[in-house]
Amino acid sequence: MKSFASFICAFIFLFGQIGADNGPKKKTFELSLSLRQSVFDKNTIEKPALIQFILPSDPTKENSYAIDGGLALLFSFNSPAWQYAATLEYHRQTEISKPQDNFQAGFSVINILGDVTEGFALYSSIAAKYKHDKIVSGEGIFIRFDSTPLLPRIGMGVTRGIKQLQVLWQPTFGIQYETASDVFKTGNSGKVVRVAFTIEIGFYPFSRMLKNSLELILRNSSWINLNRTGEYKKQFDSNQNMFKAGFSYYIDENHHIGIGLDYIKGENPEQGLLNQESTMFSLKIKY
Amino acid sequence: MPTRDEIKPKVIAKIKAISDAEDLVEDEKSKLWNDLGMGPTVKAAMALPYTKITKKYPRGIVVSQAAAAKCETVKDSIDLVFTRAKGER
Repeated sequence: MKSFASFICAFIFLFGQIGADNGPKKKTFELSLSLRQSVFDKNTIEKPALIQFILPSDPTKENSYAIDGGLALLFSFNSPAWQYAATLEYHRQTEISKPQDNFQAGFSVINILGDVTEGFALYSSIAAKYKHDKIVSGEGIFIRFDSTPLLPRIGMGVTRGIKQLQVLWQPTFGIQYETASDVFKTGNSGKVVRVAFTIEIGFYPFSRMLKNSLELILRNSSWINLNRTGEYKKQFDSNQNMFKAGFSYYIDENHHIGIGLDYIKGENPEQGLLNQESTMFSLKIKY
Repeated sequence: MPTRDEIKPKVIAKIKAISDAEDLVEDEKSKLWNDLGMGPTVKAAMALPYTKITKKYPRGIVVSQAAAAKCETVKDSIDLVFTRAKGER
């Protein structure tokens, strides 16, 4: 933990120096809070925190509940290109055969390269976090770098289409490093280096009339494990994949509260979610 | 000191550069996501073009990603840039 804390301090100092605008004008420091499903993957289409009731595909299994939420304290120092965030996340699923109990705390730095109004910008983030997963991996550190191109002309980051149907899509590329102290409670440790690729497509039917309150988001994430050591080599496949389809309807004008149905097939190694197929009805909250 | 009327067309020009709902951009009540389709990453990325406007004024200060991402309407964006161009928060 001590070395991880030192790493975080060095990380803040280094990126703080790079991001600072040392011009003579008035310095600014700003703070704000955000609540999302995950605060480490800010590159992706914004997803609200979830409180879910799970209806498993297998009728012999019992219904259960899940919580998927993250809280970020965002701050910046006199720069439009750099933003920093202290983050907390908790992912819990009580389903007996495939439970999830994953806590993450860390620090992330977001950089936006280029002027999006001139046609292209690159939205990148690097995050270092401590994780404690009571089921899959025990304690460990997780470092990730993600990059998302923003090209409004072709619907990357801004909706495009006709009045009856608007579409937005975002591909994200990343690389990740993760350590674990107790993989699947075997008492053995492990390390893994992965590349990650996520593609998301959001559909907004009758968008002018419904003001984008109705959305269908399809998301496919793939993780290719480049290098595995220790128990990671024994317990996990070389590749992992997760497909998600989420249907939401926001009940308030500013899209803070909604209800929705989410279908999941696959596994998410970042959040300790084991291979499964389920459909979830959820209350969605975004601030 | 800048005036709001001076800032408004500059902000609208920036938003028009990325939204294809051009007929709605001129209306200050239009919502950036609901009406103009600006996703959260692009709303945050507007910090840089907004700062290019504010920094043209002697007392202008930066617009942060978090402040740009919080804007819900065209009016919010104009007010944000106008305030920062005056050197206020």
